[in-house]
Amino acid sequence: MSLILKNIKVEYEGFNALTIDCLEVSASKTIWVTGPNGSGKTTLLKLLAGLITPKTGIFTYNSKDLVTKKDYMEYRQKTTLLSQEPYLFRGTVFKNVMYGLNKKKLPKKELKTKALNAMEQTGILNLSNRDSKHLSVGEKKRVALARCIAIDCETILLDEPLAGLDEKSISQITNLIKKLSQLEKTLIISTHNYENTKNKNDSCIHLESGKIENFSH
Amino acid sequence: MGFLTEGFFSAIYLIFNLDYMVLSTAYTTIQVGFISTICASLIGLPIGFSLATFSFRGKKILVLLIQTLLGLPTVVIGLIVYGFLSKKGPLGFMDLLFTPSAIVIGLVILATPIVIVFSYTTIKTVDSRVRETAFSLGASELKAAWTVICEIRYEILAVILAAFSRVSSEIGIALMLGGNIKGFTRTLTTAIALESTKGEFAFGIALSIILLFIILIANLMSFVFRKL
Repeated sequence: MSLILKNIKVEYEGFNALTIDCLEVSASKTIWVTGPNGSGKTTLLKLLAGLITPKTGIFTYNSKDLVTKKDYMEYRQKTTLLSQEPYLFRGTVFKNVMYGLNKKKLPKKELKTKALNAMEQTGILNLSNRDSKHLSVGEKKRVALARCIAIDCETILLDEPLAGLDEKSISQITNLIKKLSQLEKTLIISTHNYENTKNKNDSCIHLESGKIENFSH
Repeated sequence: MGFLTEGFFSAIYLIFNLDYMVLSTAYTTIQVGFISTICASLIGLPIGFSLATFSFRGKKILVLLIQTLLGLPTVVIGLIVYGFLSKKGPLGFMDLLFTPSAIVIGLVILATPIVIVFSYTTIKTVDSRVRETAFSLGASELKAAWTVICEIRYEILAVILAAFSRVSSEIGIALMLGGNIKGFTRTLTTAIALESTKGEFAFGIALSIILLFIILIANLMSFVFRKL
């Protein structure tokens, strides 16, 4: 997997939210995205998740430029994003975790096993039959994370995964991030505080006012 | 006030005695109302969804035009459709005038803007994270759209029921395109108008109570779904 962003500009209603001259992301790396509020962290993650298209510039995935809606849709099959304030669909926790799995052409039993594994990893097996609308912030975040893990994408993007969590949840999610970073996946995490989780091999992108200030490999 | 009380008791008598005329007109009203609401929903919901979701040139003008259609008088719809379906009209060969199908066509034209405008305003209020989350989990455009609809299914159902209430209480279209033929195209509203002109107030009020009851049921369902 390789991602190259060149001369990218993302705008929101005329406001320039992100400018990238050149950014190259290689496979199986953990990249931390840091920066103050409003520096463009969420915009960068949404861009890398294929959820927003740049106004100008070239977005290349595995040597193929993403141009059409179809290109982006195909790209989104390889990547998933955990939002800072995740949205859970109506229904049970289990139904939410199954959402991304339903499209996979696998036996139902196998899909269910994948969902249960993801739920076990995030410590939400006991919430399986709970209504998604009646969960705490921490529980919601763990359900959304389980939903991302279940679909087993090449790239997992986590936007402020520790924000708004209590100490117990922070410890659980931190351990999970460490586990995920050991797998053959590209992990891109935006955060304010990464010192306890970061490995020495991890990369770090520092953003300031919608521009990459520093990219340490 | 006497004829109101008389009408009320007459309604109860007619309903419980399964009066053929009453049942036939009630059935026609529900039948044309139901079919036209389904057709208007099939046309209106995708348009409402597209207007609420996608940006394109001329969108604001299109929304304004559709909102204007909400105020289109039913007799105008009846007149235009009549022109198309009459023997000399471009669709005259289909021989649809004065049939329940003709009423359905008119009612679809009446109900479609209602479904579009109400679904558009409903979908516009949906949390933008719904589509975003669906896409981030690999959903196609179609699946993401379906997810949005599922998330606000009760509100959408309320929109559909509001359209049903409107078409059930309509008279201009039913009268002009149906012709008020007894046992065939006579609806509750056209029957009420006819009975009133004949001086049969009690019977007219009986039919009015039945019509109100049908609309009440639809609105009650709409209210319950909104609360869910």
